[in-house]
Amino acid sequence: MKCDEAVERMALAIDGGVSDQEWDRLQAHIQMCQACAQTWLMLQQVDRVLRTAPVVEPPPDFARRAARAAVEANRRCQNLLGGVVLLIGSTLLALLMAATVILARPDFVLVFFAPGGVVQWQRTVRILFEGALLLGRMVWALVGVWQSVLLGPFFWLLVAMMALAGVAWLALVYMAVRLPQRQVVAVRS
Amino acid sequence: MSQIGLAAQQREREWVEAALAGDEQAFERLVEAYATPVYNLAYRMLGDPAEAEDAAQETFIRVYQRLHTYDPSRKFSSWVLAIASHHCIDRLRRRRLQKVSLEDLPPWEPLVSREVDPEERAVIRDRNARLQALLDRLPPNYRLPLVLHYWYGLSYDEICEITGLSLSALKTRLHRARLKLADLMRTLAPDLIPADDARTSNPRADRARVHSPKAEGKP
Ligand SMILES: [Zn+2]
Repeated sequence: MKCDEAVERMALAIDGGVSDQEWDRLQAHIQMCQACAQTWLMLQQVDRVLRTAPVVEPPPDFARRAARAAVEANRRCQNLLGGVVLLIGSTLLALLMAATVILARPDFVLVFFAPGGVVQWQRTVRILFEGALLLGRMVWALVGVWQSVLLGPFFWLLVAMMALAGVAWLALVYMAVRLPQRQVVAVRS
Repeated sequence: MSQIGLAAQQREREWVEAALAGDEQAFERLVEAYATPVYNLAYRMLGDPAEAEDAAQETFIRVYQRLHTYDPSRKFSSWVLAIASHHCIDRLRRRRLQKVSLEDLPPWEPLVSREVDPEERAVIRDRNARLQALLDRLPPNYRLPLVLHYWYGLSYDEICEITGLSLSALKTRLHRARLKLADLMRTLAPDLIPADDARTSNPRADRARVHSPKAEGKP
């Protein structure tokens, strides 16, 4: 056995990772080789010191404090997440509502560019945001009830259901806005 | 694996499920069970009781937030220790960056050096703290495998899983870490070295940590 191989074996032997046969060969080399005997001694000393080193205990009330802090942090994080989702969701909803109305009645857009259009802008934006906020609050209340469900598979079911309801609602708005125009056309002809 | 170990794992699994369903008390039990292992790991890695407490706390916050990503087919202890390990390594990395920026300061700024703190010095008289001071001098990448190996009795496989190291890299690091620590001990703290009684029998029988406990013979 050469020194390189011996050192390689030592690294495993210290953890009980060599067979008895290899162990005997290693010991035979250590008997003859001063340098390897020295390395082996050092490894064993470190091994013994580390194996007898104590486990350090945290302060007595640490576990309780840590658990509470974790629960608190998680709640804060979820609230923040909820807030961001709510903001983005409300904005998207407002934009969708606007888009639906414009699609249904392109002539509505002209109102905004007519004299006094600024008032129309203000009114429209306010209505859109109040509507979106109301919806947002409803969703938030739902989320509050379902908070424990938030991260489970039900969460995605809930999202899918709300998305479907949203699409249906937008379709309704579209038709409702569109309908009077047709009636007017019908009466004229 | 022992009967007690299996029972404990089963209980842990129940706690995890209960915590996921919103039972905060179940989570508290998990924290109680892991407070000491996680704190000890943080202390051994960071070398400072206050920072260790901080890091352990942060570890449990992450455990709670990521509980739904825990794969029950893995050992819960490995999962928690992996989170703790990564967090400690992150802290050490940040600390190194801070140190660099401290050194950039002009020389008249009062530099806070850990070594000259008299209170710290008093604490270091303690044997355990002195060993810790030596551990602190190992590079973090070498310290972590050593800590996981000696304080947690983990197999090589489990340490590889936690650290993401390959088996050969782990063996190399453990070996070098031991040699480096031996060197440090001789030069800085020779009184920590135990009286010589060279081992003459293969430790294979009493502690074979090289292989995963799963692979070991069952009773
Ligand atoms: Zn040799």
